[in-house]
Amino acid sequence: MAARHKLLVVTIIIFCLFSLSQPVQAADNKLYFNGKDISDEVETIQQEGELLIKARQFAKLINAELKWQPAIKTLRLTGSNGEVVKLMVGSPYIQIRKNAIKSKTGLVLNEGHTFLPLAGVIEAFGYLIEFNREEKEVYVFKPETVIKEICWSEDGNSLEVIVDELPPYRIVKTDNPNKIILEIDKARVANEFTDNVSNNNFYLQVKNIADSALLRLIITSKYPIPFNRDGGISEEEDRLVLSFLPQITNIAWTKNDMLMIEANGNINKPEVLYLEDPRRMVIDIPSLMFNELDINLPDNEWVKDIRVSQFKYDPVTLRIVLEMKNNDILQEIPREAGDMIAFKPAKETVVDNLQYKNGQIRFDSTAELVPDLFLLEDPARLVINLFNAERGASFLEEIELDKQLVRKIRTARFDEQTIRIVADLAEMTGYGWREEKIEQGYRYLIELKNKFSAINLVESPDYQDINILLTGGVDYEIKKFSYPHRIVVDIEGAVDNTENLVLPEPKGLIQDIRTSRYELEGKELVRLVFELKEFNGYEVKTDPATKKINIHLPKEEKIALPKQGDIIVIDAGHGGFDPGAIGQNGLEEKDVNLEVALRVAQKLKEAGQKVVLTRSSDKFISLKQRVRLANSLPAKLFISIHANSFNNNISSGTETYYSDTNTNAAASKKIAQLIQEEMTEKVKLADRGIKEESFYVVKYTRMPAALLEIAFISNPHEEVLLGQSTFQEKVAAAVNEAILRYLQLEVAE
Amino acid sequence: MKNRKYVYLLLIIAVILLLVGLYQIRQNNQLVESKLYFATPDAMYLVPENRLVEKDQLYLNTIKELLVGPENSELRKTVPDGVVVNSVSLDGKLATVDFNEALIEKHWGGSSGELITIFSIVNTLTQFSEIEEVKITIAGETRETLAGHMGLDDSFEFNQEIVK
Repeated sequence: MAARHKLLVVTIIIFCLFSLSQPVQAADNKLYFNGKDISDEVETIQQEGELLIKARQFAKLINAELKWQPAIKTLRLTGSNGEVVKLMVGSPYIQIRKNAIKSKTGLVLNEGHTFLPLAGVIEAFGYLIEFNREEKEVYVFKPETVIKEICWSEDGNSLEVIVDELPPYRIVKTDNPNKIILEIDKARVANEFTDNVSNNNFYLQVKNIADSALLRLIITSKYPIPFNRDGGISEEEDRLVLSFLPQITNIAWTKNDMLMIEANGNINKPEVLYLEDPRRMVIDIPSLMFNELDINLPDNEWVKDIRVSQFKYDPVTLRIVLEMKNNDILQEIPREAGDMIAFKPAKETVVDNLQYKNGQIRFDSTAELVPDLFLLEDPARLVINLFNAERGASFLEEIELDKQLVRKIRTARFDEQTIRIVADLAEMTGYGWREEKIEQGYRYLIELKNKFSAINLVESPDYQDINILLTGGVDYEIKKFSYPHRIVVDIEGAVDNTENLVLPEPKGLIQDIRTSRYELEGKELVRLVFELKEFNGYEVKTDPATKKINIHLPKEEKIALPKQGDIIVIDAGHGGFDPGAIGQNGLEEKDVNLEVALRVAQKLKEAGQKVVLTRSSDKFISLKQRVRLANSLPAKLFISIHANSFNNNISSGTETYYSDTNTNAAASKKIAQLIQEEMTEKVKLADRGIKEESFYVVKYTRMPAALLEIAFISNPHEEVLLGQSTFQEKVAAAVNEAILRYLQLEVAE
Repeated sequence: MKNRKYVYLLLIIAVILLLVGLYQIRQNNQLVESKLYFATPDAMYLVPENRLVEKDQLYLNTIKELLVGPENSELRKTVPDGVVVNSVSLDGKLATVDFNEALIEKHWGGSSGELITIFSIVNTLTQFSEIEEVKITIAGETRETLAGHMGLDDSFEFNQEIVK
């Protein structure tokens, strides 16, 4: 008995001493869990600077199973994703699976309850913790996105943020052009994350803004970053891509006396001017970024010195100044690659015999030259600059033509070095030029309009492809005729040079190829006819107005054309700097559209459908980008979500649009009808009916497409509805139902 | 008697002068009746309203009148306040009408809102037999869209469906 008492007394004394040396006190921190203040719901204590939380409350919070084994004083937590964490009273170690991390206190017993160190344990369950020591606030949140890596793209023109799942994000506006701030919601960096961004010029900072549960990536540069805040960021499958304007990478005077400028991306057409006293040549290159580089300028008879600077930021312009030794001029030579331009000293020449014939502008030159050609709009003009040139006797100032292509040709001395030819065109057309050696020098032929560069047939085991290649973009129309089966391609805006073209030998499915000129509704067309041995359907795989037309023909009937696919594209209208319509109380259409689109996508996914959203966050995408995305997918439906507006507060109701010019007009009308029906039945606003209108996204998508105008945001009553989540949910349910009904009908057919 | 004759003569001269003057004013500033398409308040339809427009620069003046808005209080304006028409030019049967930035910036948005604006302009201009198609430009440039639904690359023809 006595021994037992003694033991008890000793235990009590030790316990008291223990308690004295390590005072336990209730923590006065504020604790936020996933952005919610839960300070009053959980008990926390502070010991040795460690914040401890009551174990049972903690387990409940994160939905973990708790097991207390009194015999070995061990607490075991099993998380919903199978995470296992063990703590033992008296041991500072927290065992997480096979690893152990050390905390200051370990598991603490206080008034008969176990308390565990919050910071060490919560991270094992995939949460992030952030202390705001001064204000004594603790934030715990679960990141939904893991940033695996941030790195430069191969060409160094874009930064790629590689993530496990695309998060909501935004570019934060800053007044500092040297800085880009990208905010990503509920994100954390991966454990193996490495900074592959920082280098001589750039510095990456990753800041966890715990109180708003977001991660901020701050990229700072020594130089202003030419980054386009609207549209400079794009989403790819597993990454966010921040695209930069290209940088200059090399500038050199070469052995064969040329000035060469290289960049790590496309170099736009430079503007050149000459200044006197001292004589300088100034080359301004738009949208090119400065980079510190060594200029390779060996001694030569033309250029004394080269200076490079970022001349302007708005718009971004790089300036190269050459200090010239004499009165020479350098002129750009035709490019071989988009990321390189070269200039060489121009020879003095006399140009003469300017004339126009059959879509061709022609002149002669005593020395070889490189004409600088470009088009101007409104009115359409083709400008031809000839450097270091003098006009001869038959190089008239004005030639009146009034021909079908060219109305008039004017020539003038543009500046001291340049003769300029301006051809007033009937409309914008393509052009090309070539050089011929003649007795007295060289002849230059500038040809207007696009031409065919090749027509070829490509055979694969299951398909036959027809490719029509042109020198420039053209509009075209493809028709199918029967008896015999023929594919007819009508091309507008091209010169018929097919006689000079070697047409391919008919093979495979193609029995014969014919070409002809054709006039339709006053338009001159070139018609190509491909006669087929048999016909099993066809597919046009190219966009309107292209340089390459591709027609895809299956060889056998059973090889059905690639199905339209099974993806449903949901398009939330507007976004980013384009808010769409704005209600009287400030509700922005883009937010409603996105909210409804996300809900529709969620419902469709639950119904087992594959869904792609054109945007899943508040960002701007153009109409063209929306269509391009949809057309690049094997998509079977495209649904655009919008809210309507007018200049009064009484217009009201729901309407759905489709386009007769869509490649699937009938199916488009069907889905529009179903959406309108479901909306009228479930959402019960005024029924404005379905309407045919050539809105961009329903016209150019190559799958059945409809555009829903849910209600009028300009009507205060409907604005209130549009902002309510219950209403949004109802709309999403109606759209979902309409889509599912459409799919069933499709199956039935 | 002699005096009275004199007065008559003066009176006749005055009347002749007045008539000649009026005729000249009318010659310089002939008015023609044009149709201006305005919207019904539910943003569903366009309804034409007749108005006298100066014949000199008829297309431009017609659009200027359209910008003023309807006289009929049951119809709605179709173009936002602050919009200015810069020019209307004709190339063949295609009229290009150029507005200032306000047409985009001050626009109320919405598919219906956008259709009403575009087709009130297009239908108003295509009433003239010389015009078949209308293209809308902003500050001399072709824009992708007016309010985020309709592409402005295209030109438009008279829209019968939208007329009540």
